[in-house]
Amino acid sequence: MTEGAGSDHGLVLLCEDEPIVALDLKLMIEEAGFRVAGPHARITAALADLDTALVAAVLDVRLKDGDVFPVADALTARSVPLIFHSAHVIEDDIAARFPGARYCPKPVDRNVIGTALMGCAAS
Amino acid sequence: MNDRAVTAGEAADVAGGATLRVVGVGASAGGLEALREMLTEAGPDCTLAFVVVQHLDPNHESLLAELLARHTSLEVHQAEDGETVRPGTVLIIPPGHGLSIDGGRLSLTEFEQPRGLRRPIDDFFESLAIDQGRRAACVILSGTGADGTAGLRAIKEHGGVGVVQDPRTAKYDGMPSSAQSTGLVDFVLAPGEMIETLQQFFSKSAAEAGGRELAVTVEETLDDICAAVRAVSGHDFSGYKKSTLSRRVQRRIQVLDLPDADAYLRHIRDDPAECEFLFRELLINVTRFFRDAEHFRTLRRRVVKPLVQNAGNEDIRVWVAGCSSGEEAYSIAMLFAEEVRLQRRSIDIQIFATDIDERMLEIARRGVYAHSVMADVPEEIRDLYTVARGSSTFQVSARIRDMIRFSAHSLVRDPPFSNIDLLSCRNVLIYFGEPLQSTVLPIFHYAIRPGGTLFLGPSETLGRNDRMFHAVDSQARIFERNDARSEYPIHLKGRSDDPRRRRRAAERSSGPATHVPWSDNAATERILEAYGPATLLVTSQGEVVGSTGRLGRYLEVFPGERTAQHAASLARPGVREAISSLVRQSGQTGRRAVGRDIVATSELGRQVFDLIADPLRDGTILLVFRPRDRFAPTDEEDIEDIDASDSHVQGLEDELRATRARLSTAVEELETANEELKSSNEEMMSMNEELQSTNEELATVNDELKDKVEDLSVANADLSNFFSTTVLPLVVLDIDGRVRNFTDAIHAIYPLRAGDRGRPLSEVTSRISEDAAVLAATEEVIETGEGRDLQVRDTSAGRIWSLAASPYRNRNDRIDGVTLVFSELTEALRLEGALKAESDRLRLALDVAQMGVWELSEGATGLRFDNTSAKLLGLDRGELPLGDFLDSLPEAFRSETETTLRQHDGTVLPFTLTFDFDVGDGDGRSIQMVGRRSGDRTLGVLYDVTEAEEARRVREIMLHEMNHRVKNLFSIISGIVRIAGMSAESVPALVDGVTARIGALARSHNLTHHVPAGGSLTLRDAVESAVEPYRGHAGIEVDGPRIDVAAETLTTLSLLFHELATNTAKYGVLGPAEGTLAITWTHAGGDEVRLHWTERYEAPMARGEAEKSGFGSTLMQMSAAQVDGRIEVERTVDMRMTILMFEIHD
Repeated sequence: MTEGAGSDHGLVLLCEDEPIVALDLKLMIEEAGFRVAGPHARITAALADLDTALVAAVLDVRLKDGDVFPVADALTARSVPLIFHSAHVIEDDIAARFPGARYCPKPVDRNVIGTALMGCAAS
Repeated sequence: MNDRAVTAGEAADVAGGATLRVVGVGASAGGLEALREMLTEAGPDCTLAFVVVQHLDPNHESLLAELLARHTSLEVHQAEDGETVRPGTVLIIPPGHGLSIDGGRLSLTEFEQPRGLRRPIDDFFESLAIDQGRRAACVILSGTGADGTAGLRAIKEHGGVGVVQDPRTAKYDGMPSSAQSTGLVDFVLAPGEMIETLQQFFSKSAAEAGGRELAVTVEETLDDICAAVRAVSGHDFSGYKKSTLSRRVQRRIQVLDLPDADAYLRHIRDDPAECEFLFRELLINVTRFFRDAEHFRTLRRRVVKPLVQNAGNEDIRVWVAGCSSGEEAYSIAMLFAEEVRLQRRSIDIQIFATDIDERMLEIARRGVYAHSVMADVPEEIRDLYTVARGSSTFQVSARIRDMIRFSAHSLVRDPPFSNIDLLSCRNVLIYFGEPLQSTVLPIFHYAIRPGGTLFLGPSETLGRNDRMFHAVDSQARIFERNDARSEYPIHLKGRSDDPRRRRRAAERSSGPATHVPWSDNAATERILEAYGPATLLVTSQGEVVGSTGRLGRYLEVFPGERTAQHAASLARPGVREAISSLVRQSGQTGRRAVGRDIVATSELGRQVFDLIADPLRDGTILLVFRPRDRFAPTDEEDIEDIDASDSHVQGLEDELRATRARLSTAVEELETANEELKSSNEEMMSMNEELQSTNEELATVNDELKDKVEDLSVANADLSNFFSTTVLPLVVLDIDGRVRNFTDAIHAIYPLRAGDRGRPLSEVTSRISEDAAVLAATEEVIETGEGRDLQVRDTSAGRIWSLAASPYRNRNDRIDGVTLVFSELTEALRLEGALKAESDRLRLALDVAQMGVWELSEGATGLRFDNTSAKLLGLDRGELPLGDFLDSLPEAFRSETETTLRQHDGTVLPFTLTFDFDVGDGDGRSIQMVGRRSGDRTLGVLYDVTEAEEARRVREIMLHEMNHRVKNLFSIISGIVRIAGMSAESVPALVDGVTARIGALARSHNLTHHVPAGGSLTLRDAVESAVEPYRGHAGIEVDGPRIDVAAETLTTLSLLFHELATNTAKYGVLGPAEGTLAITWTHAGGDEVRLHWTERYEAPMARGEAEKSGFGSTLMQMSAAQVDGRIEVERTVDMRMTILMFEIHD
């Protein structure tokens, strides 16, 4: 939080239904110098919070009201780079459905997510 | 009669069309076997028609047709009168009748001969020969005697084919040997080969057109063929009738299967043996003892008798030319012997019997003939001149045989005998052409002494040579040699090979004749007629033989009385005595005699003349009337005187004639008496013959019976073997329930001994407990005639039998008892039980396992399913074509399944297929199909594995979920640690915080895993779990309606409640402050729930530092947000109320 507090690389959408993990991720993203939209535990909430200024989205696959893919589709339509963050072993599915999406398996290391976010912001 | 150019059958041939070939089969004793062998070989395509003539007992029905029908594919039945012979059938002679055939129709004939002398085979063959000619065949099979031999000759004479059973294969070789000895047989074969040979032969001769052409070519080459025969045998047949020669040569060509006459010519030139065959073929001649018996009787009366009577010291010389097998020569010899015997004379009689066929002569020399031809020999001389040889033959007695000298001699080639009294040459000239006949008759004329006799066959005539002979009895063909000058047949001397040269020689030899016969020249005739004295030629008896000159003055002519005119009776008054006395005198002395000045008186006048009687060499007497004076006409008165002087002698002569007539009547009467005696004798003979014939017939019946007996004994042997070896207990009961017969194996049930036959079965103790039922069944079978089956058991031995009681029928198909057959079922029943138990067990196992059985049908065309498997697969029938089955499988399984099932090499290893199968009710099912090939069957079981598959899927999902959760947990824990690390003041505080939060997670997790069955998690559970560690504190109130919470929500809520409880414990009433905690919740409308976490302090408490929004409250807020809720806090000095509002999502 201290390192990235001064910089702003942009807004990142966070979808995560587990409160502790959501908080943790929020802190890590902010620490990496991004602002966080969310975290959202529901697809409906996430879809309502799509901002054109998003530079990336960190998505847990399973949310309270289902899989996150409608959100991912909407984001892809807006060319928002995606970072999937999941305990599910579904890389192949995601890779097939969302080519170009990044993937960070749980539990996540803050360097990994930081690198991924920076990659998204750069692209 | 032997020389029909065309027979009826051949006429039919010419008409074209029918291909009927009739095979006459003659058989007697032992013939059944031969017939059977012969006819067995007949294929269904056999187009020959067979007529079997067998010697049968006239009084018994014959089994022959029935016996033969079993062995041949041809139709066999007894012939009926008027029946037409048809190809492919065998007609059998009925008993008691002869058979003849006319126009292809059989007719039954009555026997004229007594039994024993009947020759049905000969009779039939002879009629067959005439009717069918070249299309006839005769087969002579086993039998005694010689019946058939004469018939064979007839068949051959008419161009048919003759087949004889090889005597070595015949049971009785009499008939075949006799037939074979004629030398006329075409084929000598074993019975089995006959039909094929005949079929081949006839198929060769089938083409009629070819036959005609053949006839033409044969006629063209006939001269060459004759030359070839002459070159080998020395006999020249060129003078024979062309038609006869041609026909016989054609037959040889057919027998040899040659294409044409040229080929035959080559063959005959190459093969001297063929010359011999043809030679024999050409010489076919039918001869018999006393053939044409009437003629022989005439011969005896007119020739033999006088010859014997008038014989002087000289021998009587007889020549039988063309004697063939000698019957004719012996016949004539017997006639002479008999005359000599009757007349009690002692005369040397020499008979020369000649023929060109040396083989025939051998038969003739033996003089042994079949008994059957004995009938031809007149009965009165039969016993005198024949001797029985064996049962079926006789021999001409030595006395007769010694009279005859048989020698090979050719009429046309060899010098003739001379000074012959009687020359018999019968049925020879008919074969000769006209030129040859004209050559032969002068030879006869030369050979016969003057006044000697020529005896010809019934259809033979002198033709143009009648000047040499005159008929003695033209009916009987007896001729007397005229005293014409005979010329020595000089052409015979030089055996010229050139017939033309020979003819020239003959012409030359007759050229320089110096003497001209007086009766043969017109000039002489004219002289004699006009200028010579009136002359009469008379026999020594005074019969007029010839006359010349004007005899009117001396003789009275009575027109009409041409024959046997006595010169004396013709003479005019006055001449008669002179003629009689002169003829007598001259005939006795053999010298010339003269009567002078004899007066012949006629109505017109008187003539004086001398009468000279001049005996000639041949016994006739020439009477020459030489007039002495001029003819003087007379008055009528004179006639009276002369009549008176003549009438006495005339009266005497009339009386003599009348006496002679009476004598002849007496003799006739005597003969009649004699005839009667003879006929009695004949009857005796015939009875004897009948007995012999019966014997032969009995032999035939015996044969038939033997056959039957053989069949029976085989059947009997089979039966007794069956009875002694079978393990089947069997007992036969008669109609009264008495034991008739049983097998040894019956001891297992009834202790029967041999002596028990005839005992009622009811008296026999049995080992079985159903005695009464058995007896009842027996009676029922006898009553109803229908079989019964029942089971009986031998309780002591624990054996079970199946009893089949069936009616026993006798030959007339009447029920004559019962057959009881027991078959043991013990083992079978035990096996059946074991099998059933085994099967039940298997079925049960399959049922329990819910397994179905399937089997691949043969050829892998379909699959059969039992009920269970059909049900599993949702089929409404037990069978499915393989294609349909495969189509019903999910596509992915088809090719693999098909490959597996279609493997035919028998080495298929056990295989397992699992596939999802849509049974049609919308539910997919997973079916496992297990099978293997066993022998040539492929079968196995199938069962439902849907549940197992489902369980497997669930397990996989679970594992996946576990994995997810564990990783999630790791995320949460690392989050907890990280977050705690941010706010903790010290390491122990950090550890406490982390431990407490992990404990809360664990409790929440615990909750989700201890959901009561059928229930769900409630809000209360989450709340109580959070305050659980603080239960020791008084004043915790938990209250609210039951609200079900989803598991995910519960975890979040638990965490939230934990934070609240931790805060309360750290700063509030569960910790340092005194007071109570009330946790209450309510429905706030819709899905919203409103929960109040209310601390009431006992002592007013100021807002502490800890209450400022810290990390814990951030987490709480975030957690609330996660459950779409929010948290509000109300604070007074004596209470602190945290309000959680969230929505329950179902």
